[in-house]
Amino acid sequence: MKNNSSSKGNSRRDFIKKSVFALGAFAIVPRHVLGGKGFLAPSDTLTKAIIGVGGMGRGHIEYEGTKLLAMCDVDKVHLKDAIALAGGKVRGYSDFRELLAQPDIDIVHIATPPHWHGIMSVMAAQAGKDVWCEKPMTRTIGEGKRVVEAMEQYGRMFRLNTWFRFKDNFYGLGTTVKPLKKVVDSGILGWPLKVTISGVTGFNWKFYWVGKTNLQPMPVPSELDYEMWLGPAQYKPYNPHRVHSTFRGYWDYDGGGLGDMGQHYIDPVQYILGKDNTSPVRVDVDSPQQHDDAVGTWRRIEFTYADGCKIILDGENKDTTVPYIEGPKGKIYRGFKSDIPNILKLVDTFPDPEPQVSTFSESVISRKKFGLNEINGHRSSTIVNIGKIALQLGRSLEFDPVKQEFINDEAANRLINEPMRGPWKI
Amino acid sequence: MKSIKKLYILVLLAVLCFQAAAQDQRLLKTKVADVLALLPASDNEQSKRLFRELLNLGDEGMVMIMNGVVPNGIAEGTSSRYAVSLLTHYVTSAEDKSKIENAYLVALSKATDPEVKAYFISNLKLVGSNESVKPLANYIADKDLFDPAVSALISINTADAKQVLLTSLNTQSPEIQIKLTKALGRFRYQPALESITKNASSNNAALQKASLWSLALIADPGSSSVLLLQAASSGFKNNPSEATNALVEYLHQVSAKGNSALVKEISGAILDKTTDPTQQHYRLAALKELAKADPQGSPKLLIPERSKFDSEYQKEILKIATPAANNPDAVKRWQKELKKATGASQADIFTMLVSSNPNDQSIETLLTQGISSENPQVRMAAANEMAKRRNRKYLPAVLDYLARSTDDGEIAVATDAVLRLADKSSGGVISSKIISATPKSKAALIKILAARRDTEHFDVVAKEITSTDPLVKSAAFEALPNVSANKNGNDLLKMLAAAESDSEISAIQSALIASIDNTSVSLVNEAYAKDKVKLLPVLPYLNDKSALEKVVSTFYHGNEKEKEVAFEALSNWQDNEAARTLLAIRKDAALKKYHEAAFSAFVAQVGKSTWPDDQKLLMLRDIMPLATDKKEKSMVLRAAGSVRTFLSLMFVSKYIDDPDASAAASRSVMQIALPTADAKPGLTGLEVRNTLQRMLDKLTGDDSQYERIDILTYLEKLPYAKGYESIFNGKDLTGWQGLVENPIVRSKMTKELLAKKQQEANAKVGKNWSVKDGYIMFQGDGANLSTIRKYGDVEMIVDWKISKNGDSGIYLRGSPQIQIWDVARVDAGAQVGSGGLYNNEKAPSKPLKVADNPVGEWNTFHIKMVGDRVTVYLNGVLVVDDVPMENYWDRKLPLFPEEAIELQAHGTELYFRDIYVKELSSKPYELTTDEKTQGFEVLFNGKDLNNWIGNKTDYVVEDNTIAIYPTKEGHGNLNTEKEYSDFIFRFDFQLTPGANNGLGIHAPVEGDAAYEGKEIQILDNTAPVYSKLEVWQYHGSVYGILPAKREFLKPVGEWNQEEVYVKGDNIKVTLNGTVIAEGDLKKLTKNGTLDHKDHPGLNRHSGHIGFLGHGTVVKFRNIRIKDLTK
Repeated sequence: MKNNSSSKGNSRRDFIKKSVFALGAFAIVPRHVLGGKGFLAPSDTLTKAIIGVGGMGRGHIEYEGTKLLAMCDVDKVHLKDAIALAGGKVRGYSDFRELLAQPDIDIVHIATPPHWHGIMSVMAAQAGKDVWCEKPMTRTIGEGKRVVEAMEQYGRMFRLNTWFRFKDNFYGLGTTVKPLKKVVDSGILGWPLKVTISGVTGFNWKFYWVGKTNLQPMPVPSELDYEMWLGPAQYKPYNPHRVHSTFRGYWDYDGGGLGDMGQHYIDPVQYILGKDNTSPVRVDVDSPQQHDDAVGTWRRIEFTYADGCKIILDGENKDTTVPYIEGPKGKIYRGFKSDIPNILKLVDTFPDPEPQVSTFSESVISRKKFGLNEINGHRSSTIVNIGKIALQLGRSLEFDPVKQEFINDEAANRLINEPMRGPWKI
Repeated sequence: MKSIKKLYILVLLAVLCFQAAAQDQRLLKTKVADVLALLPASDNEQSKRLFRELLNLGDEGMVMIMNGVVPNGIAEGTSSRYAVSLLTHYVTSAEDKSKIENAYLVALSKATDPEVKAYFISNLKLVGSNESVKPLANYIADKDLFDPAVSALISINTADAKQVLLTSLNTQSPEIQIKLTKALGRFRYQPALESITKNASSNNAALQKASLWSLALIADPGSSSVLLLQAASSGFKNNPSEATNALVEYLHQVSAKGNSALVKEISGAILDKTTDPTQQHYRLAALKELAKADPQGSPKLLIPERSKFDSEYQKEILKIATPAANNPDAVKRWQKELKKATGASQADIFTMLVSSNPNDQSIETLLTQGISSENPQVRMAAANEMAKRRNRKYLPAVLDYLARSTDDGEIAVATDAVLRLADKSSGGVISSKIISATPKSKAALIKILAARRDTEHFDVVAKEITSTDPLVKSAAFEALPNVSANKNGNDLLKMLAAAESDSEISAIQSALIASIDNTSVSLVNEAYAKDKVKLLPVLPYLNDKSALEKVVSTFYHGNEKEKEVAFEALSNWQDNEAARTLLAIRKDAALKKYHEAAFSAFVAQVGKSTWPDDQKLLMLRDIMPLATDKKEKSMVLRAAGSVRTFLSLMFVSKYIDDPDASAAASRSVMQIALPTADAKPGLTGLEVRNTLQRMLDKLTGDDSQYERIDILTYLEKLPYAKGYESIFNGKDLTGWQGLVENPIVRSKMTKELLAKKQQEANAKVGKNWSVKDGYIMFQGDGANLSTIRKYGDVEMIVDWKISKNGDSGIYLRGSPQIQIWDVARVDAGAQVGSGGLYNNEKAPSKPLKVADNPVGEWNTFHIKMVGDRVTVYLNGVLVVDDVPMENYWDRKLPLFPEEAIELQAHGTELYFRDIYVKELSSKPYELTTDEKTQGFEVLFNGKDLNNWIGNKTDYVVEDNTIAIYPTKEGHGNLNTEKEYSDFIFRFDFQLTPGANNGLGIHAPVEGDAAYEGKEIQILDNTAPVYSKLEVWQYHGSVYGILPAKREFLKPVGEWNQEEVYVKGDNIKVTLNGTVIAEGDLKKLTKNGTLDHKDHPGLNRHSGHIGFLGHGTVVKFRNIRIKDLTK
């Protein structure tokens, strides 16, 4: 412990030195504006680049329909490994702004920690790129609003990288979301509905994404551009637990298991309930006190919509017989069990929901909004962000879904926009 | 009356003051430490309470808290930061906010470390008011703290804050100016216009860019000339100042404010200068705002744009047109365009018009015309728009469209539209279209019936399997399983008999499987008699006792082809009936070709079987020795992972160190031992703890580091209970001995005689009882094998196996017996099965059910015995339900409370393995004989709080302990009912991290026992928050008076034993056998107390003994006292 004191001292000097970060001017050259090869021709292969090629970003190498041209990471080792993984023939960047300036890239995949998602999405849109962004969409409600505006402003396509609303079996339900949507749309369960997301209904809240309090300042490894890793987040001395696979445990970058899995679990619920254009009006929490840097666990978070629909996140799995969806006229349990006889047979005879654009290349070529885009993505990300704020404040909050502000709670409203550090703004 | 009342109030006041003074005597420092020790709060209620307590510490206390904030990375600061965080986040009233803000401002001014300063500034960001503006302004010029300070000012958002930002704008470096400009822009701060406008022509491109953007956000009408000028000078193209972007944003803002004149002016300017393809998006932005400003003129404006640039641009134009295309004039104009257009462009206009006028009557006509349009793209758009309306009246039109279509793309669109419009009642309309449809459409319609599982229209589909069109035919076959119901069984069997191609046969077989129910048995069996091979695949689903016999006999006696199909059927068997056959195949060396498939099918069927967990495990253990490779071993271990029993854990844990199986074994250990996501509790006990510890570093894989956290978290919570202990080590008979007579006879023997007899019995054991390969074996004609130890109430697990005509049993409390025998021994009545209390005469002696496995297979007993009542599960099946066991040796006597457990020998070959016992302490707490003779009395019987007074809501009885839970009221005392002066008080206690309690002696019921009586500390003084205690605060010290030695507490979570000896002024505290504090309190305080406080309690020599809660979880048990005055 003792011999760490010198490095601690250094880190604090780093703090002084680096808290203001110089940045050269950067010209945005929208690819759309330049025109160029095959911008619309469906016969052309779409091209992509990935920003952030740690654990999550590497998964994007294989994503369908596009050719990988470039990658970017602030960790040299990550970048080198990922380029090797992709077969070597891709360009590597350490500053994403250089990558965005490349005219031959159609789609930018953003797989960085969430505190970068907002800025990078907006800058990619400004640069004329379509965006494929990891969940959770943004770290704050304010950043999400800005992404929605920017996509509209620059006419770009956006997909959020969770997919249960249009494909794959949805955890404990053992089916895709489609039949659930059909059941709910049919009205057979009645209204309003209560959806419980807990281990009992087949969803595991990953509480191991908790931060550590009081991280020892440590020297930054030479391969990592920590300044750029932090970017818009407030400066905090380096410690390996803060970055890479464990960053989710810190409020500055994400929100623990809720941040990690929240949008994954909640977005399909928002779709099922038909709430893609609104937000809950109230949130109630039950949790231990949260540390202001390190994310902790919680017991229960309850969101209520204006029409009485509720989404309940149960971190304790207290009610062991709780249904997944509960309405006044019927219930659906884990594994699509129901108190309505022959529900599965019945489902097939209900009308199908509106089809969704479910491959991003199709969306990029046809310019039709992707099934999970910036608008509904922002709404489901807002649910997570409302929950995070309520956790931090430890109290119930009322929310105005139109203004997208909390009602009569100044402290909560101060958390809607996290001011950004140094040169970053959105 | 009046004066009496007054007097009463005076007395009351005096009492209150006195109490308050007594309370206040606790040092502020201690109070602060007490609150900090409770942080972080465990729930919202506690958070609120602690928030209040922090505020109540007053200015001085708050300063102490703030002083505790040290640079990050030093552990001592953690709880202070939690306190600050609580203050910042939980404050709601303006009054409290201002107190907290002041405290932060003081702390900020005193702090020297930049990180700590930044920390307080960032807290001011959340609670700061106008009061903070001035102090924060000082940091704008501070290179380290400028960033958080500006952020805080932005959050504070008062007129002064904005003014400060503006004032600094003119004095700071460009770098800082940029940030300030952005902030002012975001505030739309009008007074900053002049300064920002000045910078809009700066040479510093970044500053210029920020300034232009801020002007755009402020959107003052006067800024239009500057923004236009800068955009013009960039040629309405991109340049580093991004002037055109700013102009577009300005336009957007101005439009939002409703200044349409200005919108027209700026848009006009942009449209004039953006004729180049590279400027399309600026043009689109201008058109959009213009269309919004003048909806009436929108068609006229936009229609000409439809011939410009590329198709993407043209699509964007339609998007802009949509909101304003809903008035009659616009509809007229766009309809004209629609007629002129062709191809995709026509469809785009069509869609635009329809979506712009969702409720217009004319739209229905437009849609109807559209779906019959000559342009296929319009037809598809129309079908899609009809579906979007979710109105069933469009279904006939869409079906017509489907029926007449020939193009694959159109058929797909129409199919999709039908599925979106059709509801429960639509099956008839859909199927009626099939007859007249084109072959391609016909196939699509059949697929729709299948997708809707329309069993009502089986006949329609069935008819088409004879179609000459291959497309229709294959669609019909594919649809068959989805449209078949039970009533179709006969038809399907006929079809099956006629079918020839493999794919058709398998489609019909699937349909049959879908249609099968209880009434199908005879039909299927009839058909089976005619064509085995075709029907064999259906048999696994038939739910018929004879089905398995048929398949097994075909497998063993059929030809090669039949054998194959029969084996396939066995692998698909729907319940667990076929599992033993698969096992037999796997064991049969002659059937090697089936070994691999049989192995995996067996494991899969056991896994999903309805067998009880114990039986599943037995089956898995049975096949494990046959596993030939890593894959098969892992398969078994994974399956065992979902059998969440103690025995299963013991089984899989044996493979933790096997390199082939370690990964699967570790994962299964986790699955079995830890609580599940859906709240099934985890396993407990020492063996479980040790197993989890042992596999901690064996876990591999991406999530392993988090799984390790899960395990450690669980281990932390796991109570230190013994749980199941193995009483057979698998190697030898340690702990076991030969049997001497019965307990009654033994009790009458002299010690010497018993020892001699025991020696003789032990000598015999070696002849008949042996240990081999981890199990105990009996051969010959010897006597029972008995445990050396005696057992009372227990849960017990034992696996046993017998040979033909086998006979044995388990003796409990030295008495016969839980019966084990071969059910084939009907002459002896063995057909009732094993597990019964064989020698009962009054209570039932027969088991409830036969649950024995075939002779030669292992069986599992799970036995529970409390008092004389016995419950037995055999292979997971309840066979004895809480039945008293009678005393066989003397039926007049009750059963012995404690005696040996015996394995009965009865002349046949026997095997036992995995013998575990969990001792149950369900008895009330009793003194040892020694203590009884010394005159101790029990103060807590393990069941209720008789003998105690005080806070019985926070103190509860739980698992034979007294537990205090702070989640309820936090502080609170529990006192003995009686008062004591001289005594020896003995008790056990268990601490949680940071726990704080105390033992009050000579205490009154009211008042602070530490001063009004004496308090002997009960404290986890190993916790970091208590690192800076005074010696007279350590565990065991008499608070403020007599210090204690610190190092003798057991690790947190384990039970400690303590004795407090009190005689007059003499006190002696013994912790876990070591005297940690001893002294004469009178002598010690001759020259004053260590804490320099007045302790009136020093003069009290009698009072209650009590636990003094300080808001943390602590448990107590085995509480007894010897009154020395008696």
